[in-house]
Amino acid sequence: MRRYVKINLAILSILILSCIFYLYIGPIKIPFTQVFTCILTQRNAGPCMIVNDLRLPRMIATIIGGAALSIAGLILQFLFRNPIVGPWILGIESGTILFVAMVLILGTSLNMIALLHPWGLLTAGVTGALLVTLIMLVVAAFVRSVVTVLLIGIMIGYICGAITDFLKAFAQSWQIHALAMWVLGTFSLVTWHQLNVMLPVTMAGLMLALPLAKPLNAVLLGEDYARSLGVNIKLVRVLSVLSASLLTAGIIVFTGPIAFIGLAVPHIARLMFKTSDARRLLLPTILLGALITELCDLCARTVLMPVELPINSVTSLIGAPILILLLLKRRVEYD
Amino acid sequence: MISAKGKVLVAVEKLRAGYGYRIVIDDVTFYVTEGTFLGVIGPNGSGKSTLLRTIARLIEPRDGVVYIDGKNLLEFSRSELAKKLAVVLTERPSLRLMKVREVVALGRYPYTDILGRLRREDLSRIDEILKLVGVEHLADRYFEELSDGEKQKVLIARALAQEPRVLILDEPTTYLDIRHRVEVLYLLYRVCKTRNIAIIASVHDIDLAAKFCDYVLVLKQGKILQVGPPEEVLQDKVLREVYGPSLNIRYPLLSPELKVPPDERIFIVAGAGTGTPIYRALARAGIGFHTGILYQSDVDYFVSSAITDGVVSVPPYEVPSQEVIDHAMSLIERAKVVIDSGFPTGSLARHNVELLEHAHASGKVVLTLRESSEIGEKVSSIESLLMHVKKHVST
Repeated sequence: MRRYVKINLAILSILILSCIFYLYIGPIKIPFTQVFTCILTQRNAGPCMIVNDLRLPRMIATIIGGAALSIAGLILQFLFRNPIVGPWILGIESGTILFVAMVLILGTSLNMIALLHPWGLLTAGVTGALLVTLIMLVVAAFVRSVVTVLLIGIMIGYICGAITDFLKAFAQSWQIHALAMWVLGTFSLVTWHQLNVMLPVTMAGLMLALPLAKPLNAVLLGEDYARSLGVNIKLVRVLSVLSASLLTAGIIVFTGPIAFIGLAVPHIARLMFKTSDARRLLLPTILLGALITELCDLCARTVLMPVELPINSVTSLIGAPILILLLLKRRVEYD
Repeated sequence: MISAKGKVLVAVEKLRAGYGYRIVIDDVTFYVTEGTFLGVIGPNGSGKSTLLRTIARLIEPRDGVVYIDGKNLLEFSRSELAKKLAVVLTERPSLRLMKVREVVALGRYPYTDILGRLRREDLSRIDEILKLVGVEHLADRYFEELSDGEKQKVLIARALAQEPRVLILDEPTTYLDIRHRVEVLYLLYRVCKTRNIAIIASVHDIDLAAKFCDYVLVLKQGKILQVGPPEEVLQDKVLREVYGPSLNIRYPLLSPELKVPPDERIFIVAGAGTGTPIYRALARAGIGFHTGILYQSDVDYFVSSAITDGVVSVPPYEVPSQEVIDHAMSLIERAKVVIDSGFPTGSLARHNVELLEHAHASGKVVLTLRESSEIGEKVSSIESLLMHVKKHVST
């Protein structure tokens, strides 16, 4: 237990340190002390505007977003009893994008601007996420092979993407531009206004996840064992899907799809803490998700300053090798 | 039907269950009292798993009622039932990065709060059960690293951590080596008695079931054929009826033998267990034989009568009638090779010594495994005996 606390504290300290770096480093040099006075005084003029309205909300978005996507991944991995799934790989992110694009294009065409309010977009996104998650649960019930489930998830992702492209034919050029930026995935578009939605939704998803940790542990034993322990399997499934959908859609409605975080982070947490206990994985997954996503975004912003890299190229460079390794390791059992 | 003393923990009455339109078990009624280990026996597809899964409420009964500790199974709340009844299933969960202690701790599920926190009492229960099952030395090992036998013990410990009054196990000894089979069954037997719980387990090893189960229930095509103490139930007639006439299992050995048709060219004079290795070696080589004269209490009788129909036998300790002796003599006269197993030549085996003398006198090839013998050609081992027999039979 002591080791557990120590490692978590260490991750937390690195997270705080990296936050300071995140606010300090950028294409426009702002003196170290001024960064702090800007945050403390909450002024919005000159360099303080950059800190308070650009860097700070973006940083908070990476922290919340990373934590949310990672917890969504953790829940899905337990629910599917399969360590190589995540919101991105199961096509849940693509489902979200499809529904958001639908609302975006149809909403403006039909002059229903109300739909474009963050809550409207969120509702659309959560619906898309829920739908795809349910489809994947049904698929997983019939298909035994992990690899097949993954492939079907990726295919669903492609189908959603194709329909999204198809919808673009009906879009006006500004919509296409906005969509294109967003579909690439970036934390740079997140505003304080959107954070006001992102935060409560993520909290709601997390609150749902907290009591799920106990039954999800039992689900690891298999469905029958879980039932014999008194787990209400159907309820756990519904709540898990809801929680994972909220946590996924609540982020990517505003940031676009973020690849691999949801898949890789729970894994890193597992290996770091050498446990599969969902209860003990929750906190490290939140902390590591926040930290890794923030660092990835920091890299995206600063490596080729002033040009910004897409965040997904950074997360994929980290996440894809992890997936490959896992698939290679598991081959023996699933062929 | 089961009439042991004590409280009835499991009452199954006119139970019918199945999947979809298929009824797998029908009209099953039996009772299990506390401190009783009931073994369920029957061939694959006889409904053992369905019965166990219905009692564990993993399948809804179509008809009939199951009472657990006096209460209708279907009226239990989930956690209430989890505190009364635990299962060990055939599926082996793959639990990566989970330590044995954590796996066992999963059994505390119905007792912990919504966040699944283990109280001091839970921890001491877990330690106690690890010790009871004899896996405390594995507590900090990862489950995936264990052998099948150890895994099974841990899964039993996990079930016991629920502190059930009823423990249901579906084929707990499958995949295990003989040592772990015995260990697991002995463990179940001990737990059953010390914790005074009811255990219902499907067992494929009839011989082991006869040794560890207080009662056995024989299922055939979804119906109960027999229930009772193994000594009464596992008789040749029942075994033949359940597994079919081709399976050569005889009470009380209860382990199958290879069957070969009787062959008149070979006669084995045996007794007191000396014939058994010879019978088995010949059966393995596909060579039939006749043997005698055996008392029907002799282990040689149980083994040889499972292998072949060519056994000349008499009721235990009855002097063979002249008729029986004549029959054996005539078989020897027709034989090419007579084998002397090296049986002890006490007064109760006098007729067999006479058979050997008769064989020698009538000029038969007599092969003997006896250390020192005036009659016959000495062979040093079963292997060389087999070679000699093959040579004589083929020419």
